Amino acid sequence: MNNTRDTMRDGTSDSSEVLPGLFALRRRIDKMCRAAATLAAIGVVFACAAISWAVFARGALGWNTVWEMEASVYTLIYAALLSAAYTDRAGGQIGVRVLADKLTGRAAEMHRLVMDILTLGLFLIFTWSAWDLFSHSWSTGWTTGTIWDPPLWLPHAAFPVGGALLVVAVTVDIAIRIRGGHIDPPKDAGGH
Amino acid sequence: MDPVTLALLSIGLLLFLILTGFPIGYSLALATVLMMLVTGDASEIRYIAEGAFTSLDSIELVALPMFIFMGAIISVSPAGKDIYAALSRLLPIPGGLGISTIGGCAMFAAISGSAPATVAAIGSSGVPEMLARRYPARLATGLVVGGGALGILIPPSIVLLLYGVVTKTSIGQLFLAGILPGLMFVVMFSVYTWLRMRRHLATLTPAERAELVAMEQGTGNGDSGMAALRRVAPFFALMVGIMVALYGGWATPSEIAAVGAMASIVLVLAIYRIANLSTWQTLLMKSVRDTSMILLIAAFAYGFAQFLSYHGVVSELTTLLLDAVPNKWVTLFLLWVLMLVMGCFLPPFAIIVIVAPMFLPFILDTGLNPVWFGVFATINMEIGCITPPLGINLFVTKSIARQVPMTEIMAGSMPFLAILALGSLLITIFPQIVLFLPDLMMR
Amino acid sequence: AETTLRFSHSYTDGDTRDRWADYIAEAVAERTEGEVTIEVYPNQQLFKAKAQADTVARDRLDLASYPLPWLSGRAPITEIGALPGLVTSPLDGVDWRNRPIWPMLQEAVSGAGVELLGSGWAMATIGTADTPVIAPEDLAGQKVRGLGKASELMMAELGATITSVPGSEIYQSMQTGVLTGDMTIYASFEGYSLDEVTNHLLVGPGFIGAMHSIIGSPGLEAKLGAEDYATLIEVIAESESWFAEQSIEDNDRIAREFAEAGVEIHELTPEQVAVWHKASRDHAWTYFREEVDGGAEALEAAGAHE
Ligand code: NA
Ligand code: NA
Repeated sequence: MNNTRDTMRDGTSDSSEVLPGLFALRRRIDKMCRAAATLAAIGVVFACAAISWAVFARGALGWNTVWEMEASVYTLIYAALLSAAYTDRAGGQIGVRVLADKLTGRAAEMHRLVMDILTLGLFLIFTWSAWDLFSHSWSTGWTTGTIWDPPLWLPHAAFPVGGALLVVAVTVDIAIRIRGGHIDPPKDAGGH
Repeated sequence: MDPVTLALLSIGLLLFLILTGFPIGYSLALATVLMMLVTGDASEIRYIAEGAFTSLDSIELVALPMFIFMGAIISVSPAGKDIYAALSRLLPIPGGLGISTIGGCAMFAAISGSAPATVAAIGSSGVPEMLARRYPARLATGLVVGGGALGILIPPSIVLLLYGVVTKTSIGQLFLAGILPGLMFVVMFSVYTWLRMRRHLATLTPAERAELVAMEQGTGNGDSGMAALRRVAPFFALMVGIMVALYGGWATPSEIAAVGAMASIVLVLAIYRIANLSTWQTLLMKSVRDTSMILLIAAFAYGFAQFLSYHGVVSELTTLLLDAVPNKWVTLFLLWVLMLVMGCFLPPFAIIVIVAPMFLPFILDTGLNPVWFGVFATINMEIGCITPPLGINLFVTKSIARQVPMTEIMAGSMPFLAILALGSLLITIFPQIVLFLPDLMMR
Repeated sequence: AETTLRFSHSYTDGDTRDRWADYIAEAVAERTEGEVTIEVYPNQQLFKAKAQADTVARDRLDLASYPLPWLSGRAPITEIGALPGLVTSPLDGVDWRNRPIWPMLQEAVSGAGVELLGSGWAMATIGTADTPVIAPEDLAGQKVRGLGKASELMMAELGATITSVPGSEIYQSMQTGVLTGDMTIYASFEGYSLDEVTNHLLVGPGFIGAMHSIIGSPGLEAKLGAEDYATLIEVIAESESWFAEQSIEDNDRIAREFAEAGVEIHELTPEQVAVWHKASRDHAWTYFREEVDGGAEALEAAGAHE
């Protein structure tokens, strides 16, 4: 959310159009991440409303409540996955920052690059694994087997989408860093 | 590879990744993936997303984001300020606000079954208030980290419930058994807070002291406590409503979490008239960010725990322990240490489900009461919620008080951790603290 | 060659279904003279309860004890494993192996990626907090949780409000009135300590059974070799009667213990059971026959008669 002010580091010369182009791309991806997280947020409100409705419908109207809880679980899975890229960029992932805080200058840039590369590696694997999960439930058409019985691919789809968004975002960041561009760290990053 | 080596290697790798500054949730996942390569389970890597889905596909987890959301809503309103303006009048002593926070945690614990949810709900209003009134950052954050412990001890409790299910121990008795130890910790935490604030005040100049005391009693901001009390009355009504709903049987705990969040939205709109779209956007984004962080940690922690369990690490370590020591108290002590070590790395859910059924034969064998052991284990799960690297109460507190360094939060939590450890000792010496109510009311 | 198999289930140590797994493991070890070792992992130690089928399907796990209707999202006719009015005693269920339903289920379960190796039936019943449910019409106004789609549909049509509550919340829901009753197997009544929150329990001749299947991985036969695989299949088939007897003893014991805990026990007469069977046919069977793919054929193959 506070990553919009991107500056190029003095001294590194990348006179080509590549770096400004990458930053422009980064701003677009930021917007995508925010949009996905906004969807996730709407999902949380929806889950609250759905469950509240269930309590009311059962208590006051005597209706059956069979889909609300299951739908809310899936909505919250979407909330966690769709906002993963946004959370990562906003510094919401908590970590131990003992090392990061000691590093300055080139060493600090290198450290961030290595962290980004590890993140990329992990989420490439995760997204591949998530695709496998999704494509299996998609091709079989299996359902959850509950009384509501929605297709399994519905909750599963959150995983490849969320993972891919994070992969794309981190890839652009890595490209910028390798080109010598400097990305301001998020202001209220987690950890210490 | 033998289980002990595997355990040391896995935990060492996890620690290393965490110390390099890699986010904790990611570290858990990456350590699992790398260890799968080491042990020749590379084909299992394909299923890490499935493992994440399995662990998130759980109704018990629904309450967590709901309470984060509810806490976030109440935190953007002046309700937190008002609650403390009103509460501190009730306790015009040094540390009154801190003690009120513990009271708030205990009250919230009586409506919530989880520790991090308690931290999120009370901490998100309590910590900023205490910091604003110049409480030492360590104390302010330590208080909610410790106070959150009450969440799974004072009924309802997801951990006690799970323990009851896996060990077939009466859940009714377990819930009753959690009440007195919960109140015992309220008293111990309060006494500590009072002493700590007295010491803090002694280090200040008379002027500063007067200012802090004035601020703590809410006179500093010129607002009358009665006006504040009137504004927060609906929030107290909400708490009472939640209690009534829970014990009166209108809804399950997860449902109550959702209804509570909805009611908070309505109250904030109606009482504080916060209809500003950007404010709501900010609080919603903050909620999803915290939700995503905590759920990813939960998901990847499950994968890591499952990997260790798959390789028999947990059961092997337990067997070694049980075979090696003849004396029941020494064994209990070792079990305690083992639970504390596991508590560093695994969430309470995983530990209870894996360990409780394995320990139970030993507990029954040595004549210890299974209800008592459930509470004993729960208190130690609580310590696990505080101990790094995987201390969920710490993360939730950190997400509330981002400006306070993690080292400060950890330092502030240590006294509360020590009190919890002391409490484990007390209930071991005086098991009646646990068993009095169940014996009184069930037979 | 010596082979070790992993057998996972989600029940607690000492539960009849846990002892069933141990029984199979011992018999297989004995008959293969130690060639095949089965390690039993109770209590979701390896995988969460519902995830077990997927792990078996992908050869990550060799064997699991799995409620058959949990596969209904993948093989709709498996819902027959919890259809009211069909299996009335665990001993009835043992005979399924000899009926056309068995190969039909095996084929359906294969389509879900796992092999159906055996089955054991546990009887379900109804326990309520305030007013007893003795006849189907007593369900009107109750807030209940059922044993899968068919039974919940039946209870809803009989006037009950269906509330989905996870296993871990049943106790508290019963205590507080979110649920006023629960239809589940005897072992769950015991496992969730529902004697403390139940005041009435229906016992006697059963009208609803729940099939616990033993599923094996697709690669199991290749892993074991034809001879040992045949031994395993044989042992599982033989264990079905053992489980049925254990299950009957279990239900008697649980009913006794509930009575001792002060729960009022309502013993159904054959006439009352007949009324439940009629309600099952009118509501659950109609649904199963008309809305579930292959439902009509499955009912016939199971030897169901009106
Ligand atoms: Na609680
Ligand atoms: Na910990």
